Amino acid sequence: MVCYNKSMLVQKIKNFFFSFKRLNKKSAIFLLLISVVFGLTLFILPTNIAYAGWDFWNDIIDFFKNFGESILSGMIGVIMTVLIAVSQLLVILPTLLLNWVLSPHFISVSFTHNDFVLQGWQIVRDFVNMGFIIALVFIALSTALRIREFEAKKTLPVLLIIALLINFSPVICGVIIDASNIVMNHFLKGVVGEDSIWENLGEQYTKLWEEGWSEDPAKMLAKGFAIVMFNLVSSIVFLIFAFLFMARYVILWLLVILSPLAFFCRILPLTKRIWSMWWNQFIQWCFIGVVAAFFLYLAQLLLSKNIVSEGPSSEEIEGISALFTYMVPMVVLIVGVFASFSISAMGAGYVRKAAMGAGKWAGRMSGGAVRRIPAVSRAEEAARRKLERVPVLGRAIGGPGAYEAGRKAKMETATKAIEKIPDTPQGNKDILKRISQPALTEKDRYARAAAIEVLAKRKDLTDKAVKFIPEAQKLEANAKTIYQARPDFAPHLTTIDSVTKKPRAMTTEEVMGKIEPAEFYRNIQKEALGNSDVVFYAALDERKFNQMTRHMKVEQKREFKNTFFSAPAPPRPLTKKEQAIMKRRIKDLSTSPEWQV
Amino acid sequence: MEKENFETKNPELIFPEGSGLVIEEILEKYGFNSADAKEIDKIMDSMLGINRISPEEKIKILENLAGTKIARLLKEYADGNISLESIPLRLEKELNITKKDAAQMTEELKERIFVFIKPIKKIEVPFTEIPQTKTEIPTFPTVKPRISPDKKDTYREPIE
Repeated sequence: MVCYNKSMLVQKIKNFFFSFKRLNKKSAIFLLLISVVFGLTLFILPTNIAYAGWDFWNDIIDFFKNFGESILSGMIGVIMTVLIAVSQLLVILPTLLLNWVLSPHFISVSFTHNDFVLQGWQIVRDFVNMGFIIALVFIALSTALRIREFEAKKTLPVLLIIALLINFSPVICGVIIDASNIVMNHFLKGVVGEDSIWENLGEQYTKLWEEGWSEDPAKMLAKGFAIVMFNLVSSIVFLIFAFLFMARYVILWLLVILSPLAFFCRILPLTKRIWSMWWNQFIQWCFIGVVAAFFLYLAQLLLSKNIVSEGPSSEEIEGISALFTYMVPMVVLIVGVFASFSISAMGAGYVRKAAMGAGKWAGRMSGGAVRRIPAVSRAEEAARRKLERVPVLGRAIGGPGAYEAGRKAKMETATKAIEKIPDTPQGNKDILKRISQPALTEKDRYARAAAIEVLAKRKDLTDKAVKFIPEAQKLEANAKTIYQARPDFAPHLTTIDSVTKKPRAMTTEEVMGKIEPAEFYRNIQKEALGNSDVVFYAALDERKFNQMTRHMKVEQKREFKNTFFSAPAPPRPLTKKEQAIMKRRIKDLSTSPEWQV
Repeated sequence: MEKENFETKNPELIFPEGSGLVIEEILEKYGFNSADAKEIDKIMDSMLGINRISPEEKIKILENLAGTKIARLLKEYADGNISLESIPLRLEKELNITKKDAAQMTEELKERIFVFIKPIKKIEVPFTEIPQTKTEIPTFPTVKPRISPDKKDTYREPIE
């Protein structure tokens, strides 16, 4: 390759223009005329293209124009065809799987009357029948001992009704399942029938194949991009729905088998919680299918009706409408997934994770095409956070920060519910019970996180809560409230390291530095003052110590003093300055009348 | 968990700011500071791991410091357990100083601290004796006969 520097280029241009000097006058005039005519042809002719006399020039311009467009369209067409083919390969398996799961051929046996369910149900029913005798004895004893909660007057009628109903539990469950299935199948008929979602997709592909070469390159690019995106997203969504519908069968069977036990738990107030849990799960798993089917139906409807391109079209709108033809159903499918999971049926989260995992595996198998989509390769939280930032999808799921805002809202609702429990020793005992109870649903987990926050506010957060603090912080429980009451719980809280930008455990020194002196004595829980690290860092901070001297309550002062003198050694070696401060503190504890506790 | 009552005996109890420093100044004047400083060093050395003192011993050392004794007197006065008049005698006995020094010290404390303290109740009876032990012996009510003397005790055997 020949390289020119600037001066060489200037010289070349000069030489070109000076070469005209060598031409004779006639030749120069001829060249000038040719240039003027050619220039006019290029600039004026396109505006007067309708004039019949200019057909020849029109043909030449059109030829060049079409030739350029054809090359560009061809290149885009080839690239898009390859991309669409790859993405289509990804969508085939989930589509077939979903089609199969939704078809009547998948599982033809009834939800309540098949060998597996009936045998399991009979075992549980017999076991529960034995339980009735124990329940009767329990009620008798409670009546004799005058334990009002379990007295015969209250519990015996329920026991008798339940003893009857247990034998009809498959029928009761069957009615509810059938009701949900009728609604669900109404929507699914549209999805798996003649005008199914994949039939519509196929039609759209064929259309693109046929019209693709003649279209505008920009329109082609937009349409191709939309189809690739739609394929990738729908492959994940279909996979999730397929897993969900599969899980629905199995879980409903298990719930029907366990129904006698759940009915039995309805008798005593002690076990009523198990009944409500079973009932909630049963209803949620019945109707999760309805929600999923409804959104699948909507997406299919949008694809088949082609709503956007049917409107008034112009050259500019056509390109965008091509994009929207796929984007709108895609958004509906995503909303459908979130709507189905927001029902918070137990185990639905695992189904979603399994589908995501399968998607990840499929992505790896197909050359890593799917790996580039965050929703596939990450778990729920990371996926949602990333999706929020995607321009069109992000808006559909609430935009940036929606995931966090959603969690905060859930946390707020849970906190409000817990705060209704009175701030009395018994009330706080009840809240503490909620922390130690197993959290099976998302709601339970939020209630537990809220319980931790409320107890911290009430300065009654015990060591029992420690192991649930990381979970509470993840669910947006206020970390500040927790560490203000219990700075000794700092190692169980997480923060983002300012240097590495990665999460790490907090330290007592760090949280003590964050607490304002006036907040310290007000919010600190007595138990935290039994921690030598907390006492050490409080003693080192003169402002905190002065506030404590002036305002802290006697019991807390006593605890502080005891810990101060019983601490085996400081948490870290002391500097000379710190040694002087500690000496000063011993003097203060001696000569301040406020510390004579 | 039972909620404890954290309230002090005297909710209005506020000592003038820097009471501790005033006590230190007075102690320095009467030559107690060096002795106290030595004891404080002992506690500090134990904190740094230079020597080993049990927590109980550390508290004992603290309790025996001259500064702690004066601060406790202030607290007792504020709580209404002792009167102002009894303070010179307490100082004399506890710090082992002369009557004159005790009176002077009391005067200084009175000027700089006591005047600002509003005790819970005023003790009229002057303090005369230092209590030997802090543990209070509970006083039991005298057992009275249930049956009044004018009524006849039907269950009592007649004395022959």
